[in-house]
Amino acid sequence: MIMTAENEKPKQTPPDRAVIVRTLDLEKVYGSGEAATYALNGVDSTIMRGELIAIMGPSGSGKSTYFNMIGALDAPTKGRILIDEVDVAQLSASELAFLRCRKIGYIFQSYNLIRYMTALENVTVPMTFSGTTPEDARRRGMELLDLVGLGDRWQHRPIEMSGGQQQRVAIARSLANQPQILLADEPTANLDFQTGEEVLEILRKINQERGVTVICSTHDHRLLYLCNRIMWIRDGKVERVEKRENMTIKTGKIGGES
Amino acid sequence: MKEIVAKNQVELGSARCIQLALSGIMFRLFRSSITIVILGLAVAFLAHMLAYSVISGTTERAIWAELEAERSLGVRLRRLESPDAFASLLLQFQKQDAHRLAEYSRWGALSASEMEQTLRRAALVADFERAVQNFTNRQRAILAGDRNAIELLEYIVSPEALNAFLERCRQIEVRSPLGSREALETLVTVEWPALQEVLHRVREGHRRAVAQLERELEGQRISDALIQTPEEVKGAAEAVGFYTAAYDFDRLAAFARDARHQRRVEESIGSLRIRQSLAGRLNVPPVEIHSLRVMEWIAENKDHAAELDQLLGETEGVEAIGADNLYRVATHFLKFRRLQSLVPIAPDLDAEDRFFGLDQSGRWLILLAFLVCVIGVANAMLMSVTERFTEIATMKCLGAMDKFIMMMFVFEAAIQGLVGGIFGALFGVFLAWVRGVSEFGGTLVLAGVFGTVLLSALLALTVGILLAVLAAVGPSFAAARLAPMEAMRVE
Repeated sequence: MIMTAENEKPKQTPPDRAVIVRTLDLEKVYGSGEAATYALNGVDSTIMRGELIAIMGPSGSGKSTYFNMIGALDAPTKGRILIDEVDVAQLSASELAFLRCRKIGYIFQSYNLIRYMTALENVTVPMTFSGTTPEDARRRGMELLDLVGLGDRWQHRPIEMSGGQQQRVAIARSLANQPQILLADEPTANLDFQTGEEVLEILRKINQERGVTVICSTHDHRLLYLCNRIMWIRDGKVERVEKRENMTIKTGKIGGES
Repeated sequence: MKEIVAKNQVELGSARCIQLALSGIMFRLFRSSITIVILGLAVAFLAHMLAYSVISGTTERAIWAELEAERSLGVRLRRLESPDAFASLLLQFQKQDAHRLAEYSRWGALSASEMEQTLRRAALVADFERAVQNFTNRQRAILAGDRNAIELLEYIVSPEALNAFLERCRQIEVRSPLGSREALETLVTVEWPALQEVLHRVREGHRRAVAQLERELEGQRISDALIQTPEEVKGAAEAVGFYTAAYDFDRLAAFARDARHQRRVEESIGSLRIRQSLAGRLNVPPVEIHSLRVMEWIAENKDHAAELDQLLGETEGVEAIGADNLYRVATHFLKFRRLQSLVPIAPDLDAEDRFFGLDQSGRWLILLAFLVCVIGVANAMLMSVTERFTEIATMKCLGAMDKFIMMMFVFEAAIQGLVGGIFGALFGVFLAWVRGVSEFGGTLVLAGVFGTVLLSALLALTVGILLAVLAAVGPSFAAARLAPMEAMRVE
């Protein structure tokens, strides 16, 4: 794949942008004693407001674990996660639910739509949890489905949709309560080339037009042309973080690893 | 400026929960219907046990009351014709039936103080009898041999026998009846003879009354007179000291008449001519003609009754009774035979006050069936929750609170319990009714049981819902408590 310089021109990146997610010496251990496995082993990282950051790394590098930690979906064994300078560990269950509901949107590799709901119902679930009235939820849900190009399929159930369509519903759902952070865990892994590109394009649009911070773990190198920064994780540690401008993209080689 | 401020999540009402639970049930209709069927069966079983216990108990008590009424008619008729037996006199003094005591005090010419003494003595004897009955078989063999209580009482009247008896009581560490030696000694030497004397006096009085009644009726048999002129007999009986207010002389007359008809049929079977003729009609050898078979044959239809009546009329020395009478006697006879076979022993009259009239084995059965159902339902719920871990995790990611997730499952279980329970309760009650009809047929008594049966259905329904909810709470609590990602990983 050959990239042209124009079509992924990164938008302006002011150097003093506020930090939105910060991790301090993050550790996550599975098992204990001899069998203990360090999924994360001291991760310090910062993610800026409004950027699109790609998290890359081989399978088993702790990428997904890191991803879950900053999404407040799992508790670390050690270390702190600050979302907008608020320590997640300090939050009550109710506040955590609030955070997950309105401030963070999640996109999963396997979509995780609720099987017995239509596309529209799936999109409005987070609005239900945030207490939006059904009429508002329905209106906004339709807008979001239009945004991802599925306005005419609102009453289809997941089983009646293709993977790409399901993932687009999942994206619409993640945007339900206008989150500030969008976490996408390998969003294109289960999709073919073309649909994957569509999904990435939607992510880029959301990032640029709505100023949503997008954190995206992926193996998909097309993302490299869209993102502002890339973070490599290996063996539970941050290997390096690069700005895209500083990176040389070599096509025809495996990975961005040197 | 901070854009992200963590506030408390809004709490959602139960309406939304029910809506979600319902759509979940509709989507998993097959799995849900299996759960509903399991719950329904549990509830049906419970409702059936309770409702049947109520229905059969009520019917048995009603049948027993009818049998008792018939028996008491027999007793009353007999008492007009012959004096009460000694044992029955003693029993009546112990039971203290006011009507009987009024008659006895007249016949025995008992003064008020004598009556009081007699009642006290009868109660003492009752105490003694109860003590003897409470002996174990072994104690009884050692202390009384093969004597019954009254025989024992008469045996220990001699001081030696009494001493030996008390000595044996001491040896096998049994409390002697009435406690002290003095009390027992007074009973056997003073109270018992005095009581016997009074009872004999009463019995003699009763015998004289019967004789006088016969004289009044001018040599007619009392039951014959009763059939013809019940009012006259009533007046005469009252005159000789019977407490006739308690007697329904019209019913008594009808009873006497039926008894006479029945006796006549039985006697006529003894006649060779009738026996042979009946054998021809029933197509059995003459030796197999007996009253039950004949009664069944008569009850088949009124033509048979007419045939037999004609036969009786043609036979010398036997009177015809009328086909209608014959038919009525036969059906009455068969009905009471059937009632007696349905309720051969007195039903437990205390059962009415117990939990839906259930006996101990019924309660054990319910408990056991319940355990099975609890496990079945718990398993169904566990499966339903574990296969939805991803859904739970997703919902938590989208901002659902633990409470909401639990509520969703609990509502789902409650809805399943409600649906299964309603069908189960209806089915169980229906089965109880079918079983009642097949067991008791036309004698099934449903009057007055409706409320209790409804109550048992409601109870079974409530228990079913509770069961489902309890079974769902455990697994859904475990699932809701997990961090979202852990729940997803459980898969």
